[in-house]
Amino acid sequence: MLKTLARVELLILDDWGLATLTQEQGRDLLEIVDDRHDRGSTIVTSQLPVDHWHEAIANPTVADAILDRLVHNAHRLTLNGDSMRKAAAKRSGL
Amino acid sequence: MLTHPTHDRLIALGLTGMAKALEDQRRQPDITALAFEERIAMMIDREAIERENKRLTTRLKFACLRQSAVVEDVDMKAPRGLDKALFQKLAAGDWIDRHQNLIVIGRPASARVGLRVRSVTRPAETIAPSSIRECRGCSMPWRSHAAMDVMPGCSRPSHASSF
Repeated sequence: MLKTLARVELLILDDWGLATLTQEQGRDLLEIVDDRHDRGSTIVTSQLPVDHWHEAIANPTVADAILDRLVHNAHRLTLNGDSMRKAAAKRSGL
Repeated sequence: MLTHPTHDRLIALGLTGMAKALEDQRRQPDITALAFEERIAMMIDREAIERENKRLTTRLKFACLRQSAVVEDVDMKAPRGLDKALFQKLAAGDWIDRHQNLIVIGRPASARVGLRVRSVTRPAETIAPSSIRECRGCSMPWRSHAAMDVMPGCSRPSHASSF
């Protein structure tokens, strides 16, 4: 599993920061992110602004290491729009 | 129609796209109007496109994406403060080759989807997209060497006369 995650050309971490990562989860993610650094691309989508990402990882040292690899060579795209699901629901008369 | 030995050899070599293109060409009496290079190019293009489609299908299956959004369908007029220039740049996908990351911040499902899907699928850009066009008759992609809208040898009878 970890090998596959390390190998894929593009990995998507969807809805980042919904819940705080535990120590163990943080370490696992660090391993993945570290393996992929400079070898693959990662998309992170989140409702949280990047400034708050640090708080979403329990161990601050691990958080530093993960964010250092994820954020520094990242393009950023910010969207302000309403939920597309809400718009779709409106169209279908809900 | 009897199967052509060349057709069988193509199949045996795993070149099913070329085999299909050959069959299509054999059904078109007016195909002889095309030069050898053009006919062989059509066969090779068909093979390349079929392979790319197969790879795309495999990748999509592997990615298990729940939405089937594509970047071309993104509504640029929707008011969500999308930086169009940056979006176009990202849509080209070069950043993936450079192993860079992308952070997308926004409300839940605020069209974060389209961009991601395209990034995973990456269409066949390796075969010079500018010269690939879609046949108006059968919607088959083909490489055009001239300003034609319908692929020579298009199997749609209604279009046979337009060539």
